Amino acid sequence: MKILVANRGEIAVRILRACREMGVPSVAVYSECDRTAPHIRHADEAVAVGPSPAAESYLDIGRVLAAAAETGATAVHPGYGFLAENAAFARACREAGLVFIGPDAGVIETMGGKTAARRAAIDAGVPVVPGTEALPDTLSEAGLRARADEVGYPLFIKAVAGGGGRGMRRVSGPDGVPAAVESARSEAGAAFGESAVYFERLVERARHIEVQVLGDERGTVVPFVERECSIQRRHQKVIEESPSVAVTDSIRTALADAAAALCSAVRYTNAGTLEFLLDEKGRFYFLEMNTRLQVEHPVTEMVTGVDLVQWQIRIARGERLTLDLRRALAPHGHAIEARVYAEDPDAGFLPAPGRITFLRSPSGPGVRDDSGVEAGFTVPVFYDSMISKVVAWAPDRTAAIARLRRALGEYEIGGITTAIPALLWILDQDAFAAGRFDTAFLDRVLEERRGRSFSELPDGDLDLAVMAAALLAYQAGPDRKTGGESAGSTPWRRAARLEGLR
Amino acid sequence: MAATSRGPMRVQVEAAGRRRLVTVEPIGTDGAGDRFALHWDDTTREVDVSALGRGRLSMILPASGRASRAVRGDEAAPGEWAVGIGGRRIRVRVSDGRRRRRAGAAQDGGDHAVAAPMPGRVVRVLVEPGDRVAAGQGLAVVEAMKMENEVASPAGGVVSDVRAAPGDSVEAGGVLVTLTAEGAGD
Repeated sequence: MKILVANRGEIAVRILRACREMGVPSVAVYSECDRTAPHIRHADEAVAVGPSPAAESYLDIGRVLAAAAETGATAVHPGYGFLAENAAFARACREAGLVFIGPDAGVIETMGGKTAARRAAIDAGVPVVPGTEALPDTLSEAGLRARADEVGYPLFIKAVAGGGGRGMRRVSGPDGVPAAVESARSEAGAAFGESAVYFERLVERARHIEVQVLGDERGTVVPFVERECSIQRRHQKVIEESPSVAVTDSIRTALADAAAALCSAVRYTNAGTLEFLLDEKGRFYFLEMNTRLQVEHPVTEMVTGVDLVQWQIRIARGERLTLDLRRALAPHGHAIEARVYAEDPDAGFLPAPGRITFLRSPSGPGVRDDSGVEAGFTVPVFYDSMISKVVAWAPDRTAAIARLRRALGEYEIGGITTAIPALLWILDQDAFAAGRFDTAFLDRVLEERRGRSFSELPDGDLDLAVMAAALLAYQAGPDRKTGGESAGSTPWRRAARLEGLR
Repeated sequence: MAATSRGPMRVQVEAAGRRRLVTVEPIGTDGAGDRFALHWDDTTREVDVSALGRGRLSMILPASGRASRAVRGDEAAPGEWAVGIGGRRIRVRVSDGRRRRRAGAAQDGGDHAVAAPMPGRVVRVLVEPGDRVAAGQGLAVVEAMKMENEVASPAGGVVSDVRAAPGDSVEAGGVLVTLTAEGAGD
């Protein structure tokens, strides 16, 4: 097997590392702006696939397949994002005689569609958020109210063809139903060309809990201990951990059974993740399935000791899944991950791409840094702003949080702005430490602190920063234009001059 | 000039909303690093400094039981530093007389340039020359890293010039729109 990794950044590095460890030859692809990206140096070969915009390179199926043909690759790992959940790509790979490291194209299609996945879950006996099928246009106002009453309030009116919150309305009681259906239909029709809508109960104060699965070609399915991903900013996950403080042993078993039942029913193979909402009473509802490797897979790896990417490759080679089911479901210690985004938390988390001038990654006991950048690399404007994931493992949650805080404090990234100060602030919140949060938590507390800068230092460190700035100004000196002063011939001055030459 | 002999130097340091006049006084060197006394308000702090390169300083503070920290500074624009300590960072403005004058000169004229906060692609321009805009009103939308970001007007005024068009690539600091501040024109 020779694997082409059809991705970039940290996930390409992650997959290419697995290839190296397994002795599998590998091929990296890169766009114009990624010519110097670190991921290409983790591969045996590297092929350019086009201009910087993703649509003309990483998303261009023809160019990616041509790169595979040119290098004699026999398999393709899509990572996450880009072409990872594109059934047409999976199909094109197989038609080109390549092994697609992921599930079957047909399964990607079934589980990728909102209502189809929901139907498959219902058929497999997996609980879904209470709701209806598409509402017939002929239904009277009284009929609509009756259906809504059955679902319960508050509820969401959602577009069947939906996405991005369009064609979506929140209704808190029966009176608002007909008008809201009317406006949701017209918005959905305008946005998607299809006006069908359905009702779905709004699960309040829900947590986002997900179950990692692996499945092999022989029908063996292994569900893993859950991941908790409720700390999200505008539906973007920020901090993930495993296990969840809200999941008891009996909930864990029920989640695993539900995940296994659904995966067996659709004959799921390779790695995937089922997302659930968990309410305050411990009831869970299937939301959707991601038919690929997830960003947050390392927390599962750290509490189970299972290398998910190596298993993806082994399953794709036709190996039998021989994992111990109990090990997959019994977490050893606690793992927590923070996503490091190149964003300015003081400017509303505005993307902050640019050239990295200095980089020092955290290390030490229980720390894993999955990064896709290095000093000298320019973080491009074209792709996602996540540059790294810092994962900490410790015997318990409190120690894991302390370790993550320590690791983030060690991270030094010069030249660009990152959201690390905001991550440290989240980790310091009492509610977070106590495990009291839901998916709306982060947006809510960010809204409350609105306007206050994350650029704050404790008093002692503030003095230190003032001193450092004054000293750096002194080092640069009022003579910075003339340079080469004789008086400053101390090691410090020499270092300053050397830097000027770089 | 005194400055070239590397005697004491006075700088104004602005951080966390407070301005301090700091005197940097070299007080010795021992081959490994330089020792300085820094004075501001009624504070004097001694520090042992070694440059680690790339704006990174190792600072040992004898007065705090020889506590030692690594501090990094990036100079984003002349005198505008981002100083990072232990995963957190703050913005610090450092100026001597010369830089203050330069900054003052740039403020001349009633026009205020609104720039792209990050490199990206202009998706939409929301105003035209002559439009009256309020503070906080969106002027243009710039896409970077798969996200659309609205660039808002920092102040009320009248749009004097639009320098970006949809599809344009812009660098960070690239001017999108210029405004004449309210009351400055007429």
